Amino acid sequence: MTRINPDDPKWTAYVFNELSESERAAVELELEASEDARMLVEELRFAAQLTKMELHDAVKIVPLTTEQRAKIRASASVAGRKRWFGVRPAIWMTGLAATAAAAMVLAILSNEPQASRPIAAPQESVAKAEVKQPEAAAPVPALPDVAPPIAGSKTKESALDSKVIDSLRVEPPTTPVANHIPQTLPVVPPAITSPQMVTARMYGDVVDATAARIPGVSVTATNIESGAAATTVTNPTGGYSFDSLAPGNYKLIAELPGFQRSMYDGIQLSANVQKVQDITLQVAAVAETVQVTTKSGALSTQSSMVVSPGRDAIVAGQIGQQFAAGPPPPIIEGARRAPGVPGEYDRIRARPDNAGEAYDRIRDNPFLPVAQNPLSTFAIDVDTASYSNVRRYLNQYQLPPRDAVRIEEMINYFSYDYPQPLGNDPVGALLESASAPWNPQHRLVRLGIKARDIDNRRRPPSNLVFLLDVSGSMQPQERLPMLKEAIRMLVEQLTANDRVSVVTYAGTTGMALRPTRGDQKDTILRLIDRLEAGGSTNGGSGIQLAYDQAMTNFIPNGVNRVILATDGDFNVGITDRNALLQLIEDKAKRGVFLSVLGVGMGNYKDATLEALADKGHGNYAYLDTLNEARKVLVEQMSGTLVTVAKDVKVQVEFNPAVVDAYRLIGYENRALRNEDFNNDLKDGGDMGAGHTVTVLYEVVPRGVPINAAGGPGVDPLKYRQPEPEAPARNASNETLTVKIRYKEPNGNSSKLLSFPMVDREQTFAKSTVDFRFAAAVAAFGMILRESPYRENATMDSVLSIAEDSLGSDRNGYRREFLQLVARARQIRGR
Amino acid sequence: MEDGIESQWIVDALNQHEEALLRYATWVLRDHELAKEVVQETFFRLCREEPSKVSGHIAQWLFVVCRNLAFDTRKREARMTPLEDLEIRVDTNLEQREAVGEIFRFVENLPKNQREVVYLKFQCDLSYKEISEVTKLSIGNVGFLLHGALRAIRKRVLSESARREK
Repeated sequence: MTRINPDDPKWTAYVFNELSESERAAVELELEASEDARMLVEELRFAAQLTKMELHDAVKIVPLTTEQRAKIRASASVAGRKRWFGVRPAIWMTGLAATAAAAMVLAILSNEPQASRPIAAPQESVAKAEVKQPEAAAPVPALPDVAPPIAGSKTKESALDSKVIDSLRVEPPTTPVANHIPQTLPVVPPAITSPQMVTARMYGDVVDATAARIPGVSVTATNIESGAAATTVTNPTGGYSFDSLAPGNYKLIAELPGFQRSMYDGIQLSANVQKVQDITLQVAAVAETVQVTTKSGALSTQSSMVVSPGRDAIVAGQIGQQFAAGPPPPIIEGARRAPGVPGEYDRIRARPDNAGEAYDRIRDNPFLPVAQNPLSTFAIDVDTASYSNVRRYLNQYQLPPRDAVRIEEMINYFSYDYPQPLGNDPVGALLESASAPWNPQHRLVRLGIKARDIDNRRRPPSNLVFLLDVSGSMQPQERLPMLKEAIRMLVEQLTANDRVSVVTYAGTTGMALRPTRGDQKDTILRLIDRLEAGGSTNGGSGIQLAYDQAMTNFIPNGVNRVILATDGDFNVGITDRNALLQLIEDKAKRGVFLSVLGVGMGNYKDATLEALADKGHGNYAYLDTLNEARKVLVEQMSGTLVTVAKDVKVQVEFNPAVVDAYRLIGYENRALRNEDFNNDLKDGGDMGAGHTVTVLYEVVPRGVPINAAGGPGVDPLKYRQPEPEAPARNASNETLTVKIRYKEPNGNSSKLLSFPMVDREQTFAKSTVDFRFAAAVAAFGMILRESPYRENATMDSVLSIAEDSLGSDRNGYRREFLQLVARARQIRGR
Repeated sequence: MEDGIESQWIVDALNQHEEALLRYATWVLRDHELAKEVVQETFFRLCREEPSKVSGHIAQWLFVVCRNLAFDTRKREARMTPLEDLEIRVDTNLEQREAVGEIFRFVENLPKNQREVVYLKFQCDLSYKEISEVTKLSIGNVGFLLHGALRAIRKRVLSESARREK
């Protein structure tokens, strides 16, 4: 055993990366040889981390004021222009003189035309602050002398300045508020009491007539004297808060589509006072108040308009006129539809936020004639994110954008009682058929795939690297704070065999927690507690660092996973999406998988996140509530973490002797070419322990028309005569055969399972509880998507089927589904 | 656009170093307002500097200037309002805060040189070389002081691990 000299400063120098190449190599040799050395370095690293955090916390700083920064910038551009300022004496000792001189410079600068002022990109926070000022000749509200939050001073540079301005900015004359997803404005962190605090705080809850709290309500506080307005959106528990308002006389307006606008007038706020103001909203019958924000920043109200299906054109026309002066409202949804085919509910549908909610377009799978397409092939999908996202919209009293509704993810959100796979196979299948509730002439075939359960206590050791987005946008309660809660719950489940590390990224990247044993819960939880949005350290590439940690601590035969949690601000160090996907794919091949957790709203880039998780052999979940976070991270932990079968693909062969046509419900973006089913180089979906995947086909039996109620079908071929009835080889009465391919988690070649099905002519009413519930969810999805194939499915029929098929519903998820359907029905007005 | 480029490097430096400089100045001065003034003045001085003279070592330059200004200010303040002790001490407000833990108290009681090195490393994220230029201590000495401090902290914090290490 080599002895090491712990007094040698090289160990610390190694930790700080201060050694030369050769010194470093020497230390690494010693590290390899000596357990003591490894422990010493590990502990020094830990001590350094704690010291850094504690010293960081101990000395609070107050960022430079906007004014001070402006003066420095003014001085800087003067310095760049001419060096005449060199004659400026050392006036700093008399601070007043400096202030005056710089103020003068500022005055000179502000007389210049806007265009000549150099605003270069990296000036971000400062430049932003300038741009945010109203372009119109609106009176700029005097910025209150906000005492910056001392404890919150970890925010990068002085992001605070622009936030203060943000929260007080005069609303620009643009988008109508109705039908518009309220944007989450950055919320100024609560000011810590400080002698110079001259702002007031106003907060409260927004409730409906039944005292239920309402999230997603846009609340605007307007200073009557100055016209300065600040807007915020209520959090998931219906709370709002303005943390630093200038003292004065305010009016408060709360609004949400589906409710009457509510106004509270004459609220007097004085300095250093916290005012509690709760708000009650009344449900709007058919009338919505459309509100126009005028240039002066004052709010005026247009007359009510009836928004009802069938009058879209008129309403749209009125809105068009009213807003002719301003930039047109973003019509992303409309742009995605074929011209002339407006959706029936477009006007009351949430629009993808122009700030960047991105959904890949989905075109409903059509009916395919079996004669030409006997095979249907797709990769399975165990994601459930779409359901949570749909729920979020509905809870805000908005219909989700069509393409946010992915039916397979909605169906798979729920757990179904499928039997454990037989034998040694990690996956098994269960088939059932009955008449389709929305078209009794058609058959509905359900394929239930179940992955083997693993007892949580017997699960393999996990090496988990959390890659957490801690950028400023993660501040709201339902983002980083909720994630921290969820991670805490996960940590509680870990044991000494597990390893947890945390990498954070914002503009830059930092190692928040070195790999730590799962039983050292205090250490882990302490670190987790300290995470704050807006703070981070060293530069570099977040995802790279996370993967490095995962590789360094790789547990053979264990679970090695990077868990990325973000609100979609995907700045992890590699901006090229393809390079990123490539990296994730490479690492997945080497055994480190990726799971993606989406949080928050607004910045939520659905398409990107799902693609990442797919490449990384991981799953993707959207966490909209703590309950959801618990479901994903804790209840299903073994499923979330342990992949029991990877690259699972499904191919269904239909029997033309029994079936005319079929349609796969959902899985639009998971389709594979038929020949890829047997190609092991083509990726499929992955299944974690205990996962169930449910697939529904709508099947048109021989001789039944495809479109009973005028849905789009395919005309029979005119020239190509159907071949004379090829005598079916076995004259089988099977409807179809399901083939499933999967690989063992560490395997490279696939195994094939095959399950034939004969239709027993079961009626829908006689089908199993799970079958009926899945059908109800599918119908709900089709209605929300306004699918051309929804036939006579209605919200009412969905409700009555679902009410009747709740089963044991241990976690209440199915009951919650009932509420969502009822709410959707209410929003649509039928 | 020479103007844009020339002033841009200063704004970049401001964005990059504002927080660390403020932390450092606040630590020296124990006063937020004075710290802000010092940092503002530091950047005014940067504006008057020829870019070629500071390029490549802006961090060191800023910390040296900020440090001198901060210590000057402290002396000046001390003359005006006599302090019992010119040595930096934890001010009572800070000490009472719960967030302030053992490590902070420990660092505050280190010898002056060592304390400053620890601060420049952990609060301001400077490299050995940069710390050496700011404090005029040799790089070797910086490494030695840091290692000593870190080992002591490790012992205090990781009493459990320390026991394992015979």
